[in-house]
Amino acid sequence: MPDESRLDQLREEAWQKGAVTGRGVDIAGGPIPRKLATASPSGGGPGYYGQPVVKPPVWTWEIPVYFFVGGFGGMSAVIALAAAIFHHVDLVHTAMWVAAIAAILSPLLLILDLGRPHLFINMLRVFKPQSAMSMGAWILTGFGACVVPGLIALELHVHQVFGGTVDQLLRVAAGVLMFGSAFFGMLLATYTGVLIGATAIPAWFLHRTLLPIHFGTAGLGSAAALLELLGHRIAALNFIGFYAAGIETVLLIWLSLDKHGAADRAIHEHRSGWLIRIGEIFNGPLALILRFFGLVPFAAISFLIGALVSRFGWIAVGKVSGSDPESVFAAERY
Amino acid sequence: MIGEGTKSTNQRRHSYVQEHVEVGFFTDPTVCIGCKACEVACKEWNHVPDDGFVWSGNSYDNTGHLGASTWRHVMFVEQDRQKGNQIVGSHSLGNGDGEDPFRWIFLSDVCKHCEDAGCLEACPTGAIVRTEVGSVLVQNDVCNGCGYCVVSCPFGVIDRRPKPLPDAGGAFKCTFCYDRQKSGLVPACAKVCPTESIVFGRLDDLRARATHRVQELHEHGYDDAQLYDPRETSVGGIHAFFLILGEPEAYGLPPKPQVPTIYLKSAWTAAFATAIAAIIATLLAFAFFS
Amino acid sequence: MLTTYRLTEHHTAGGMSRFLSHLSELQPEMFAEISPELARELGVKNGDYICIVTLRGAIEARALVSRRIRPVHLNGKTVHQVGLPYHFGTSGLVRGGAANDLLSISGEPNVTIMEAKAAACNIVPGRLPRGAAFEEWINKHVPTGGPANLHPEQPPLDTAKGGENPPGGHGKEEKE
Repeated sequence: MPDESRLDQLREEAWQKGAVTGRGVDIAGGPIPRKLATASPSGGGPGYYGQPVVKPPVWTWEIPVYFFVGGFGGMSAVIALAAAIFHHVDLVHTAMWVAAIAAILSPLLLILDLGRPHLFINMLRVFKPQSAMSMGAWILTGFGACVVPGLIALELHVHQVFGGTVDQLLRVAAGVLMFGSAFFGMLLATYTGVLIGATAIPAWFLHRTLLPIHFGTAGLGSAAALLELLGHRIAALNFIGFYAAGIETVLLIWLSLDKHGAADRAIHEHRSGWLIRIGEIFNGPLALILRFFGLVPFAAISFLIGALVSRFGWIAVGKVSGSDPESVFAAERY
Repeated sequence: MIGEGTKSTNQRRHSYVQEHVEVGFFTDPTVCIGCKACEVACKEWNHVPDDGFVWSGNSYDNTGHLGASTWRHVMFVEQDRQKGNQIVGSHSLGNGDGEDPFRWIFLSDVCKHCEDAGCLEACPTGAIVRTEVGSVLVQNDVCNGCGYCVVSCPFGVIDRRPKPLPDAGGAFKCTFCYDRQKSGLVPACAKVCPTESIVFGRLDDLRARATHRVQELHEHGYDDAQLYDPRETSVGGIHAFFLILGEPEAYGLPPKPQVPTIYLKSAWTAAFATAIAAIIATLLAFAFFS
Repeated sequence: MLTTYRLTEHHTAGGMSRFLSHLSELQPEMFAEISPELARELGVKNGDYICIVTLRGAIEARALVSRRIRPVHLNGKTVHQVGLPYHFGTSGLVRGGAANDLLSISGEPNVTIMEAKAAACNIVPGRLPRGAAFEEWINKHVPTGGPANLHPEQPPLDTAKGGENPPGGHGKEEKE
């Protein structure tokens, strides 16, 4: 039984040899095995007291809403171009209006989310291909610069405000600008997936291939759904609706199968993952079934809800995943 | 080095900025005493506000993690392991033979100033730049607070400062005391470090010194001493590197940090494929159903 | 058995450092370090409130459970240690129980400094009662040698004219 006499021995040994090599004073404990009691000293938790290793995103509701608005706006411009090529004049008109409204709303949402909104113009200080955010800022600028003048040219041409050569020029300008809108629009709807895919958040970068496909397709489906709800019940839009809902159904299956264990457990185990799944069910299988039975308006509403909810889901999952040190460790060991 | 007095690289004036010399921090937990002087000096020099009086219950660490208002952070790691050739007796009642070690380690964490920095690559405004001395600097007057650097840092260092703290909205992190360095001064944390656990100096000198220190510790029974300097990953090495005892996870350091730009290729490929598929689908829809 | 000590973040009883935000945020609350064994015995978790009671008074603090604090086995008796930083007080940016409230008012004859490094104490889980309930509470929980004498500088009510040692006098609590 260790007691204070060991202290005297230690002092003696230190005095004689200058250093002590044996065991120190054995200090005793309570009635329970020591290791059990001290399995997690102080606060405990994985890594360093469970503190996050990477920082979770600071973005608030503006960003998922922007993903949604930019998605349907961008793809609406694509539909407008296709409709123009196949002479659906009414549809071109509505689709361009939708795109233009989105082109105005999107930067407003983005500026709202900035920490220093008055410095928003600094986004255009540099052109940086390796930064998805910089590319996004330029894509959005290009989109806005094409859609709004494009819509004005289109309106002036449709209402025959000017005659003769000016009207001809306006027609050409509208065509060129609509082509530009469609080009930037298709990038606007898909780049957002790259934006969150190329980050240090495990649940995001592990699904960096899925994300642009999901965001782009959800954008296309939302644009078609919105135009249908605005009264354009035509077969072409219905086909796009089928296409988008079909792809989303496949993505839902892909996401359920593509598990990375602890690395992306925010999606599969945390409740924020349910936002993604509910969103995907609304814009995947449910929209598909409703459309199959000819309930087009319901299918459209279901798709729009799904597209919005899953955007919120992905941001929520990013916050959970970024705060979870174990998922970062798991993703890097993976 | 300790004992060199004012000639130590931690104390003497230098002209690294003018000469474009790459500099770094080498942080050595085996001599750190956990006094947190680096944290306080950093906040005092850089006018970083306090970010709340919250007691964490995690050993003596009430700072938590690096962030917009914490540019130096002293970690207090408690582990059931032997430190060096520490005497580990049995401390249990009854079974007096088993060894029952315990150690308390302090490590001052800081922005790593990566060779290939996630925040720098992600910044859409060009607010984050590389300086003459190889450090990564956020220009506060340019940053508009988009928050993209926050999710792009593989070490979770940079953060957006929330309201109502002064200068809220912008992204902040360690500046490597660039303002001090321009005047030939040593960064505040290294200057005050009483044991020179934080060493400031030329990067090549520090790397040599660190390798030597690891060898020295191995000879003295610190078998698990290693350098944390991820040079073989896409981060390509860090300017503020650490000596650690045991595995990096215990210090909240990612074992294999990657700069997120390596994910761009596959993500953009998927984006372009989706965009083109969407165009084709739309054109087909109008071609066949109108 | 309690002991008191300093933290690097604060200066003496905190009169200067607890008014500075950069120092206060580093140690913002009074805590008492106890061993996992004592914590298990008391049914206390890391971060819970506990009260430390001596013959001189009682304060509350957050429990910091750590293996750094170890019970000592002395001649067949287990003695638990409680570590208290003495930097806290009633004003400033961060406030907390003052460990000095627990100590005897004594003066070591050579250096005239009080004995602050060892005192017998009792630990009671939970918050400290305030007001009238306090007196009853402290007498219930006071360590052996009670009742508690909170004002040793004043002559006790039942003694005629000072001079005699009040009950629970100086130094008594150091001896277990």
